[in-house]
Amino acid sequence: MKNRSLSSARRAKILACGLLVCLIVSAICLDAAQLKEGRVTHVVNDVKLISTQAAPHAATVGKSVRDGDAIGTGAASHTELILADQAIVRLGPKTTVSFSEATRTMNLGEGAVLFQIPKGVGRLKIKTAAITTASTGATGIIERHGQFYVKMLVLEGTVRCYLTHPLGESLLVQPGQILITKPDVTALPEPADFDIAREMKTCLLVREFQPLPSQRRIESEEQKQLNMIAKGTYIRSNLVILGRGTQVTLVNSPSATPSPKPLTNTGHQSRTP
Amino acid sequence: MGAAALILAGQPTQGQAPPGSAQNRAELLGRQAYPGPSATPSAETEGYAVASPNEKDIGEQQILKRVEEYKPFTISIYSPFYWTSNAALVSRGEQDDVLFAPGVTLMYQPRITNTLYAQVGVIQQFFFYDQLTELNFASLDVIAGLLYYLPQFHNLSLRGYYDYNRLTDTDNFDELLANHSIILSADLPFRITRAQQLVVGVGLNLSFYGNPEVPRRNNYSLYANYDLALSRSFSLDAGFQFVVRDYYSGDRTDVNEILSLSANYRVRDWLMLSALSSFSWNQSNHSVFDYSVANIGGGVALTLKF
Repeated sequence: MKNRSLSSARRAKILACGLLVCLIVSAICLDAAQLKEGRVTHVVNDVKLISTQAAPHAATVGKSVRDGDAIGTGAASHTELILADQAIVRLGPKTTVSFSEATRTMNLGEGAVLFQIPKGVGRLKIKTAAITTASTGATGIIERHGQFYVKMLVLEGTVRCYLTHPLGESLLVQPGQILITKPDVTALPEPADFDIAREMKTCLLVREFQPLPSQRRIESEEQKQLNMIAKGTYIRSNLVILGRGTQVTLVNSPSATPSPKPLTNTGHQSRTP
Repeated sequence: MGAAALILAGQPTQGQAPPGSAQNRAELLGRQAYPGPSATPSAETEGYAVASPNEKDIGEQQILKRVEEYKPFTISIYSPFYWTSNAALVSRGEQDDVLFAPGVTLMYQPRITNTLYAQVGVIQQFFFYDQLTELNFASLDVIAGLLYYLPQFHNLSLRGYYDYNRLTDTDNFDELLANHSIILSADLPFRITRAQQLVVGVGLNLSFYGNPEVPRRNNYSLYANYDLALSRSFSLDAGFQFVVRDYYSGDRTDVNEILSLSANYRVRDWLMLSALSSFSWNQSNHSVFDYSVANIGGGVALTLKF
């Protein structure tokens, strides 16, 4: 009788251990699956998810984005996704991106994307034409218009920009720098400098969403730039690129920073906290 | 002073350095030591502006102009090393060797006007041979002069300066040669594309006092330098110099040609690694002074501006 109860206890122990192992394995698998896919967190108007497993359909908040999937926005539409390693990407209107390498690589086909890569978590690569950008902690904007140009702005952190061909050179783009080049470029040009504060006040990919987790670091870079302007290291020019594109507009007052536009919240599906 | 006696001896013997050899070696091996400007690609020349697709979503990018503060002081420390096929630059009995030529350049270049600069500098370089240590020497240059740019004449630059050159041995710094000269040069740059540049120039080096007299000479040179920037940090340089050396002592006249090739990798703004090579041929109206030499090596250079 004693032997019998002992063997039952042993069996129970083995069962408990087995269950524990199963739980751990499931947790690891679930975690791995979560890391390998992104999630839609914000949708405004016409946002389409083009999946390898299903026909193109409307993206909604909470929808998963996996390797091989693509997402596209229509006119006056934008969306936000959280990718593997908690990187945030926000797509502006008429933008198409696809994902690969466990959503750690994003291919920008057309349009504009704001990216925020948390520090010390992982690396996000954004490929567009002959140029790849990669960072392990930065916030910036990248834009591509067909075969005409690629533009990248860095708001905080450092982004390595390199040419994808084997002998391609690379360049570190620092906060407050803007790089404009052709998509089929063979030599990277020198970046120029832009006003981070003005950019942040006028960027709809910032203003029409929840504050970025890197907001404080961006404000710190703004302050550094203001100090350098006060010291005379930088002079505000009267040259402004008003939104997308590369066309430079001559404005009357170089120091005029536009007042913030009222937020437009119509038609938003908010990110779930 | 044994080496000095060898170098400055009137008639060279087999394996020994002929008159002016140290001067020639300083010119040949020292000319690649100073990091020069390279044709780095710039955004300005691309100049493409594409109409905006009319979206304001990414915000307004107000361009900031960086005000570059002019830094008149330059310190360069460099340490090239070479294998040389003809250490003593002799016509017969050549001996190859390896040499290190560490040096330092201190330069002060204040801006007088937008296109006129003064130049005051000190250049000290040492030449240490691995086997033929009796050939070791040091070269000190103290220069003072003016540099004038003429943007209206295709960015022509004119330079004129006084150069005091003192060659010494490396043991006791006993003087081998002291030379005072006026150096005049004119450089004309041609930008071929944004990554390529050709500079052609003429130079005069007129010695007005030297001690001892035997190696004193005037140099008349023509040169061309081609620079190809393969990337913002990697460039290739090729240079050719044709020099007529007219010696004061006797009727000696040499014709010297130097071809130099280098690959330069700029690791940081202040740090450059280089692979260096140079080939030189010397023909004299006294055949005993004919020689040819090949130098192959590398180097590292640190440059600070403030």
